[in-house]
Amino acid sequence: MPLSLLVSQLLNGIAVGMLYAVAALGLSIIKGLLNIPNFAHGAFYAVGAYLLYAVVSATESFWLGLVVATVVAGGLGVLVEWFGVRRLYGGAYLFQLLLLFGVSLVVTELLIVLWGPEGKSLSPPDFLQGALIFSGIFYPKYLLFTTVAGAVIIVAVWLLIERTRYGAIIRAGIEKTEMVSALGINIEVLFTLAFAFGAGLAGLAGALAAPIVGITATMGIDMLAMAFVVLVIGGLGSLYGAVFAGLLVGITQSLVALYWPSASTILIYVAMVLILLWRPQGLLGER
Amino acid sequence: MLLDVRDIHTFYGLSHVLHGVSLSVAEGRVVALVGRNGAGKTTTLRSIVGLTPPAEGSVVFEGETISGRKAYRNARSGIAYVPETRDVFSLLTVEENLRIAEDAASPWDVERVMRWFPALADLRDRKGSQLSGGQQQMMVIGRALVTGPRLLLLDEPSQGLAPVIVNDVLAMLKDLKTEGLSVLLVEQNIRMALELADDVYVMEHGAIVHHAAPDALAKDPAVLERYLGVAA
Ligand SMILES: Nc1ncnc2c1ncn2[C@@H]1O[C@H](COP(=O)(O)OP(=O)(O)OP(=O)(O)O)[C@@H](O)[C@H]1O
Ligand SMILES: [Mg+2]
Repeated sequence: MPLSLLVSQLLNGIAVGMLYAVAALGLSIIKGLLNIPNFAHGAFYAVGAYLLYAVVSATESFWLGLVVATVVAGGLGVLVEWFGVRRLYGGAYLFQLLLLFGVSLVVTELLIVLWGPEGKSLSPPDFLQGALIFSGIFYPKYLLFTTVAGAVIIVAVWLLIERTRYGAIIRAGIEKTEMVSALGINIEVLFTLAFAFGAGLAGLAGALAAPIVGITATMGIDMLAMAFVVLVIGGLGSLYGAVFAGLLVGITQSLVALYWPSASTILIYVAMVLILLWRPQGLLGER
Repeated sequence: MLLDVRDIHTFYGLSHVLHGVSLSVAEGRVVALVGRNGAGKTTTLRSIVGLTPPAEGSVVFEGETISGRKAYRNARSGIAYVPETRDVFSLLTVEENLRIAEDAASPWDVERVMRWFPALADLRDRKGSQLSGGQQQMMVIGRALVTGPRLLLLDEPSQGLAPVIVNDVLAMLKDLKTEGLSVLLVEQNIRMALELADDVYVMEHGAIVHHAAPDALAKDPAVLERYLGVAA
């Protein structure tokens, strides 16, 4: 196998891994603060992709599309948290799972009602079309863009959480919810915002993925499974384990696809099982 | 009265823990609440701040009934709670622990707390988990002060601290008293409680069983022995 192909595939894996990382980071924030497994995360992801498609079709503006995808997915997150999830805090996982799975089905069907059952395809904006070619390495500009955008998003989220007062409140709330409210902080609003923030990240990841993977109403289902795998591999207790594991999974998948394409997804599940047997807390999880 | 607790009954699930507790704290006073383990002292403080709301009775703060309101609202209206478990945010730095609690209207801002406890200023960027017990206690008291409290609920600030550190904490609380801060202090360290308080309530089995001035209580070996297990 030529080295250039390997490098191309590695670059591809990094871009895909960034998308996993952004989606899983959203899942990780929701799991960390609200202790809720967001089974509707994939639906927010698909919503993001369709919104980018709709905005680009109507206005030709890719940037506006990314903003709308993020904000509307986040707004949908507010509704889901406000009218549904908040009634189930501290309750049984089964009810949370059923509610969020239900939301996911409803949203998926709505996407089909609105945009029809056939998938949509969206090409990258003009300035991101084509590829960079150097020493036989083929690097589509849109993958470079995805990689950079993913890195910028992750760093921005990191700065928000680690370097701002709002982020400090989130970190405090993850650890000791009750004490945060005894300090005069409205934890319910914080929960709503965090859920919306996680949903917004899913929407943004879906929008960024749209030109790469194509748009279908069920695109979120594959992403949801992968994002949970990434979360578990990274460590449920660790916010940023998801980032590391997302990249790891994306790269592994792409490289394996070179040699044994049909195994590239199942292998990730096998790897997850092995990692959990070796480190039940995940790669970066504590305890 | 700054705080009036009127005949409150509080439950944990089905278990009835407070059986009609009444007490008051006047403006600028330090009131101690003492009693053996399991008497219901912590539950009383949690009922006041709203973390374990009473099922019956009422809590009146500055003339307004606050029982039934959410804890964060009670905190904003001026009740600061320092739990027995301290509840330091272990992953946040000392400065962040204080910063998230800070209210712009408080006479205590983060820098004033740092000046007041110079030890904390040196540990500003240390994680909460890296502090000693005494440093943690100073920090959580500071964290309560920056919320701008009109009433401080302090649960066993001396617990688990070495005697020298207990004296430091005592000195700090005396400072706060001189400043005119109103405090409801739960303390197993009777010497400390009697030294600080203007007024002492004794609790047993979820009820107030005795109410006295500290010097009267100090001279009442029967009560000390019976409710507190302190040999006279
Ligand atoms: N979360 C809880 N669930 C059920 N029962 C509880 C809970 N917390 C406390 N209790 C019970 O309520 C009673 C009063 O407890 P509380 O913690 O208020 O006592 P305390 O006077 O603060 O004791 P200590 O001096 O040990 O701190 C005890 O019998 C205790 O076992
Ligand atoms: Mg107690």
